[in-house]
Amino acid sequence: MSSSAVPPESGRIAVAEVATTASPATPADPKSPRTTGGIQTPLDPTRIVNPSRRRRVLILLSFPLFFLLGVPFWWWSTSIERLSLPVERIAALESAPVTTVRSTILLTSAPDAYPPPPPGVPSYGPRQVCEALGDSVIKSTEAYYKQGGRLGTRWWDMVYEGGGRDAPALHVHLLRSEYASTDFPLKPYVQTPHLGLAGIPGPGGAAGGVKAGTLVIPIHPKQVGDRYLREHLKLAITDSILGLYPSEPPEIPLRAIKYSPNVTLSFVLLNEDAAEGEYVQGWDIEAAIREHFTPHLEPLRPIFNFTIESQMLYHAPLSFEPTWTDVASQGEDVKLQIESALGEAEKGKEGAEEVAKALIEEDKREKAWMVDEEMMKVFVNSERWTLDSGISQNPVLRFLLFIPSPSHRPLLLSAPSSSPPSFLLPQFGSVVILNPPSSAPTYHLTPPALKSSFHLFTSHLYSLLALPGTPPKVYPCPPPDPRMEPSGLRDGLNRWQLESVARQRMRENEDEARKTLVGIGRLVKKIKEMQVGEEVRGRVVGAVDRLEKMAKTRDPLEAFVLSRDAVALANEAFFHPSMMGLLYFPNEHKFAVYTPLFAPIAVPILVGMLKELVAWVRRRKLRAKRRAGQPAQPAPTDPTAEEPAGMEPGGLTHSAADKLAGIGAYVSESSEEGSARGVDVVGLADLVIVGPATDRRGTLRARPSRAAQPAS
Amino acid sequence: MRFAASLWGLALLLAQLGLVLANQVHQQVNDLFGHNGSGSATTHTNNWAVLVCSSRYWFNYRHMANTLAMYRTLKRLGMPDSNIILMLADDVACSARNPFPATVYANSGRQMDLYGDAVEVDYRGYEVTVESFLRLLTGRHAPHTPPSKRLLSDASSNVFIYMTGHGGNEFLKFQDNEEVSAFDIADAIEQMSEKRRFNKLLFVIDTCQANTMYSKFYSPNVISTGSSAIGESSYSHHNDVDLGTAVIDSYTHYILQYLETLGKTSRATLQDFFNTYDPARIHSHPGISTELSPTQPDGILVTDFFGGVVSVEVTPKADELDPLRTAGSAGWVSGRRRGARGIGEGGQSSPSPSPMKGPPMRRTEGVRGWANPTERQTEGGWVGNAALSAVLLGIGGYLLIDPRTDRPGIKRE
Repeated sequence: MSSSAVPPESGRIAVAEVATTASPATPADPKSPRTTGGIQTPLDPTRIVNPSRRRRVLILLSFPLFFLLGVPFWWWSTSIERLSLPVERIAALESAPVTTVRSTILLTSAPDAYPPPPPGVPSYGPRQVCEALGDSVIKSTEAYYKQGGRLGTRWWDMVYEGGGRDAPALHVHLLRSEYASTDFPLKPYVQTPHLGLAGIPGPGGAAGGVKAGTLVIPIHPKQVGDRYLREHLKLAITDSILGLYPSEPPEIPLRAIKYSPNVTLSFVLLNEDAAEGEYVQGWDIEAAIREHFTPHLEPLRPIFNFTIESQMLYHAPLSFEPTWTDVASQGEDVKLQIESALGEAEKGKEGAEEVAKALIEEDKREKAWMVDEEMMKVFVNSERWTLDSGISQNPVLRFLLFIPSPSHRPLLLSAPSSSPPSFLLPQFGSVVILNPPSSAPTYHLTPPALKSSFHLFTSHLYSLLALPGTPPKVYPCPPPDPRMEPSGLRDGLNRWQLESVARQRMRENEDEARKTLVGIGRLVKKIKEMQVGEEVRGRVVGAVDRLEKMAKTRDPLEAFVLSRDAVALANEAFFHPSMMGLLYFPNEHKFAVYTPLFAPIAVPILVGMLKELVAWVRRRKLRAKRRAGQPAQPAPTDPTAEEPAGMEPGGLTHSAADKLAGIGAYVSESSEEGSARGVDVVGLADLVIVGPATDRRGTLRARPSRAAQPAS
Repeated sequence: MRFAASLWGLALLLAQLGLVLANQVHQQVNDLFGHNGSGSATTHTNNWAVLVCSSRYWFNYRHMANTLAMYRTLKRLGMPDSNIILMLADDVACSARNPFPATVYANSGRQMDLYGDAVEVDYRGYEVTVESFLRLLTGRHAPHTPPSKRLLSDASSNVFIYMTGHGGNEFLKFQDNEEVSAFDIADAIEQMSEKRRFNKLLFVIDTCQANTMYSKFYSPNVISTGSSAIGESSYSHHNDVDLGTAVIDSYTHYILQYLETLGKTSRATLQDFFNTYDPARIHSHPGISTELSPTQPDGILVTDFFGGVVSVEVTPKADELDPLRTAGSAGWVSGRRRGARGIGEGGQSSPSPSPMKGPPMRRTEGVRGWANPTERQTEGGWVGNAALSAVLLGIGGYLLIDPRTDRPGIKRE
């Protein structure tokens, strides 16, 4: 603007002023005479400041075109990806029956566990004997299921041969044993991992011992000759199989946790207040877990993966005050226990005397700190106690061993009858209160001291994981050496129970996976804003594949693995972060977002298009009139009626053309440095025509000088 | 007995007391079909609560106080902290304008500090967003979200949702920044329902036109209640002169006043709770919606939502080990003596336990985590503690120095 080629001050301002009032978006025509040379005709200024009609229309249309081109991107960026889900397959799964698996049970016998045939009758091998026995077991099982409306199905087949790698997992074995009871009924048991009776050299050791997990039917040599032995065997085998392999796996009770492949067990020893003294400063937790938990956890390896953590807390205050009240009568149980302990002590059993003493003490106790049921509900002071490390997403089962402070001893539960001071919190864990037997500054708990508590923990573990117990007709496994006393602890989890857990959890998982898939399908249909991306669809399809495959599988563990993966995939799909998608956007919201964005732009575009349309219609009319031979009418002075660059000179009146020529000369003079770009000739013409056109230059000078103030 | 009762019923019929007979028959049928007639059979084992304060800034003090008061009430009624998800802007307790720093009160007398100790805010400050709230309900979190920020409820859980903030017709503002609509919450609850993330759900909201917020719900087993009808404002209850701001909202004040009268063992039902609503005192018309729930509020206990552990199972006597099989007090070794006795005595004093039968634990893949660091830290000596303290100090120092962290109450240039 500060160039030396600037015309007189007032004129510069005038043009600038005109430029500001005109449309800034119309650049000067580069082909206009201004660049090529001077002004020859009065129409030149029009060409200079006003782009050609064609060009103007193009510019005008470029905006809608731009929006049109942007539409796909807008569509892509705002639309929700909703891939199609295999709806039909999910629907088919929903109505499909629950998957059932079929197991095979191997029935074998020691060669001497059945009576030899009488003379003259051909001798049968163990296989023939087992086949006959197996047939009758199958018959009696089916009779049992049909009888009395007990609807059930036998989900197993009996085989009589098999070994090595392909051996069926479930095995029933008839064993002749010197140490078995001589009374009927027979007392079947499931062999635990230690070497059983069969390991002892003797007539019982058929094949060097019985594999762990085998259901053993022990037969005493005296019983072999019994004429009803076959009936007894049939009854014993049928009863145990009915108990160990029920038609329907038991339902998972509410107290048990839902299936998760990873489970954390957290063992916590809590001293109520170590500052008061007489606290436990150590426990042999590893040994206790090895003794009490490993036999149950290890066999579950195909189903659960356990992580174990342990800690000791030295200050674990209760959130309530237990009540110091009279102890309810312990009842007859304790008296019996005392008697038996005294009896044992007389026989010289080590420690029995001490136990009897403790029991008598306990019985004599009149008052104690009592925890009633409402207190039990708030016993776990989760505000103050940190019960697990919380490092994983696994469900955590907490086993809390609570040592009351000296001022709260003895701490007992005011529960009916002499139940042990222990309770279970559904889906959470278990609590055992352990009152120290004697006074000492500090204690260290060795495995014997932890035995009773961990025995309770074990039974709580069974409840919390919904593990099946031992059926009533199956007896505990005898200790490896008949001279040893039975431990009284639970036998480790056996193969039959594992099978039951697998079937139970398989059903749970299948049900959960199906419900989740159906739920995803329903939600996607119902909620239109829900996104279904490739990852979600992949997982859904994976889950459906596995469920379909599972229906064809017969092997329990394989089917279980499929169900586990199916439920994991279905859950991953359901809980996939992308499924959250967009929030709900009502139409008013969309309107509120787009209106401020598009309305201001739309107004000039629409008005401009309207003007073009009007001009076009007018031109058409004009042309039609001219063709009809009528002389051209003077161009209107209406600003909307534009003088297009291509218009014939005849279209303008002489005075207007004259004036325009003058302006054009001026403009070409003053626009050397470009300040006149974008001058709309309409405005100029208007300015000139309506003004007092006495002096060409004077007009321009006079008018803008008034308007120069706001422009500067 | 039943025969006698029917005879008795017959006699009454002869005495033209048909109504009484009907009662008799009804009773007998109830007797016959046992306990399921009462409808009180609990099918849930745990309670969860989501408490949302969707406002921030000092002048919204009362919303923080509402939420914290509800939090305290839940805890008083025995709900463990791990089951309460608290979403709170949490910027008033340490606000520079708070004349009583690090406290939040819900009454003008300032009798009870709601902030106090042991307040566990799970989502705080800018974490309280519509998205995080909806993700919390639907369970769709990023994989690294810690368990404390997740609603780990299942088909056996009763879930209580409490929301407070500024709202309007079918929306609730979140931190003056965004808003959640009634449709969003309804869809989120439907997704919870489809995934069986609750057994029963109680939705309570205190905001202007609150009753519109649950008007779009369509999932079963949901009971909802709000503070004010459409077109109505919810008002605060009273101001504290020293704080210079309102300390609690009217509706929340009165429901808390009622909940204060309940104990952990209360048998009050939701109907009793709803009956305490008094529009004249609350200055708005609270709404109640029960049509989605098959069980009517007079069949649901307040403690079914506002309580802690639902049931405990006392171990039966049969599970106990025969005392003769335990060693009595033999296993209790005095800690001090133990140190003096040395290793000779049965290995009990050695730090690692004596080898037992069975396979070594480390080899078993199913049972892992033996020598995990957590155990070392909790049981191990001062070395572990010192290391932990050093790490904590380091983190603390980092937080102090790092200018990016946004901590309420500390102004940054």
